[in-house]
Amino acid sequence: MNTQQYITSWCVLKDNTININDRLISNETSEQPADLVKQLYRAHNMSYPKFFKMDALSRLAFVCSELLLNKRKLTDTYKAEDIAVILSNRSASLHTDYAYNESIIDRANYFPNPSLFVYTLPNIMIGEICIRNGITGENTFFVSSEPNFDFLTEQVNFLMNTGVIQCCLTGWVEVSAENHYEATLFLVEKNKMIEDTANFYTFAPYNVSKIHTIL
Amino acid sequence: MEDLIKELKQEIIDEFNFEDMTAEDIDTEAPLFGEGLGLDSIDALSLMVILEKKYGIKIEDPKDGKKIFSTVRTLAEYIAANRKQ
Amino acid sequence: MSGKVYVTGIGIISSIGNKVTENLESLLNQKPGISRIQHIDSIYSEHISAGEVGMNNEELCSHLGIKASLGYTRSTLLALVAAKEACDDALYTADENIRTGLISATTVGGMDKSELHYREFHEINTHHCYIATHDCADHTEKLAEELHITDFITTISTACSSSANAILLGSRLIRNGLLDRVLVGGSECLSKFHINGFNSMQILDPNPCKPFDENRKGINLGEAAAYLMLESEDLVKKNNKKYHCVVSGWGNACEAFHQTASSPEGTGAVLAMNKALKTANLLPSEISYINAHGTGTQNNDSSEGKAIETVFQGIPPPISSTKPFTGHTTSAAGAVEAIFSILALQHQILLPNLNFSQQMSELSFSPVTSLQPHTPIRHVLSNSFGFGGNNTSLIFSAE
Repeated sequence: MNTQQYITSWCVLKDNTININDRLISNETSEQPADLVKQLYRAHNMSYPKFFKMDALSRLAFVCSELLLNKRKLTDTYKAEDIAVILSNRSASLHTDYAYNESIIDRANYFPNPSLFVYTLPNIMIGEICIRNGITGENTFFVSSEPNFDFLTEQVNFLMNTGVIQCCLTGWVEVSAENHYEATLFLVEKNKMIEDTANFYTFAPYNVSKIHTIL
Repeated sequence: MEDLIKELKQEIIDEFNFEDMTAEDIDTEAPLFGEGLGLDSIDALSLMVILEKKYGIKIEDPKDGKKIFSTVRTLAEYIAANRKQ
Repeated sequence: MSGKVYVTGIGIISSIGNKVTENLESLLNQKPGISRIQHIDSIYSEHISAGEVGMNNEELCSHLGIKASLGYTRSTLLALVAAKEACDDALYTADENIRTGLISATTVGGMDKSELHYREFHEINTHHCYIATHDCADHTEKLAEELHITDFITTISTACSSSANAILLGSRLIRNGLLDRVLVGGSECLSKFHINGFNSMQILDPNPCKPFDENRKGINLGEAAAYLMLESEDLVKKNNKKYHCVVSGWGNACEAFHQTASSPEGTGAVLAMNKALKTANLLPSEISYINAHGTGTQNNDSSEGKAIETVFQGIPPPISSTKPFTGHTTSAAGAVEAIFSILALQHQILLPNLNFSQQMSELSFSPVTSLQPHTPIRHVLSNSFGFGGNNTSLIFSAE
């Protein structure tokens, strides 16, 4: 029995600009994307000191997930194990791979850094979101050269149609070697959980791509 | 000792990117792990790297780390007694 | 659409053999593949034990009939060897009327080459062909090209549960009729990058690892590639195909506890095992053997052990970790151990947990310590847990 899935909240960040649910909330082009992420963390009182220990990719994913959830506690609506986080990107953890590699490359100044090594795994950002929100459902991280929203929507809709999960945080979160930031995150829920579905886009490739390219 | 304590607080701020903090914000006597600064097991390993890199001290048994890293003061006292550089 | 998921082909290259039969022979002879590092120029060569594949890159190239150094990283070469064996075993031929997929897993990716050429790349932009191979998805593209798979291709990177998740996703796609057949697995070569990383976390045992032992000291890393061909019930019936077993259960859960550490009670592992049992529609008492994640770290074995006690209500079936044979092959481990689980099932043998001497004080069970032939085995549970709290359990069944 198929249900219909809707995008109940979304967040798009591209370098210096961010758009949440069709609302442009910052456009200070002079800033570095890393500074914008920090500024958003502070402006929205996310008060989570562990944020500062995270690498660039996890910080980006964390801030976007916080903005998209807007203080909502998903576990009030769903069982922790019914919520999934499924993300993808192009460069995996390349940005931090470089930083960590710097700590082992020079034999004269050789101090492998365990805190950096931990973040040389792209799925750690999913772990961070799950820890913050107490989510224990399915986790997957896909690597692809371009965002593949046909694939992602098929996967997520399928998991929700078959009842494996009830709710999903999904999208694309990328920090490139050249320091470009790009995140598109969606909160996907079933129609039966939504009062008026007319207010939301369906979770279909067409809508997902439209939102992804809004900036 | 007071200089070393201040220096260590700055090291900790730099290592863990606690950008919203200054050395004054860290309580010399407060626990570094769990409560307090909220450091964890991986951070303990990073502190060991700092000890080796900056002060030439190698902690062989990670279990010793627990006592040494309990507060900024215990850490400073250990470094003062064992530093090679 | 809820047909069975058949395993029609398997292929593996690891430190205990370059193909399935060689791996089986080493398992039967209880011959581990752990030694000092030889192929990597590391300052740890003298101090670290690891499971290295016997062939160097040139030998792998000539084994595959590839002209050397054309942008093939070691992970890709290993992947090609194992994937081709799995395809041959499944009598695979490209066929545009059969919806065919490829799901491959890696984390290290092309790190072995990137770290060699990293400096030069930053300075003078040379070695383009290897730097372009750094991305995790690169080895999947090469495999797809070589095997002419075009319908569905993706790469998974979830640390040490990566290839278990490739099997999970592939099984689900077959079970629900989205694909007819899919090659799933993973590949990981040793790199200075992750040897140093695990070493900096102080979880490498310089000597052969001792999973589930009271005096365990940590991991031996290893390199390997392993692939399974999964096919739909329709396809198997239609072609009257031979098969090894079925994938009957799968489950993935996030522990949401810590970036790298597992919770003392193993809550994520409990969730994953219970989900797998539910998918397979099996009771815990129906599991004949558990191929544990069993890395040999203090944290994993204690957490996984507790989780097993919880799921199996204190009376677990025979358990072993086969990591003392191969080392912890990180992203490839899930597929490597899937194949070992399948071999256990096919040959009705319990595989030994080598190097074990003393039961852990906090656990009520000890692992199997010697090869047990002629053991009735119907359902095998295989665990794979990764950093990020990513826990996956798979169940392989005779039918």
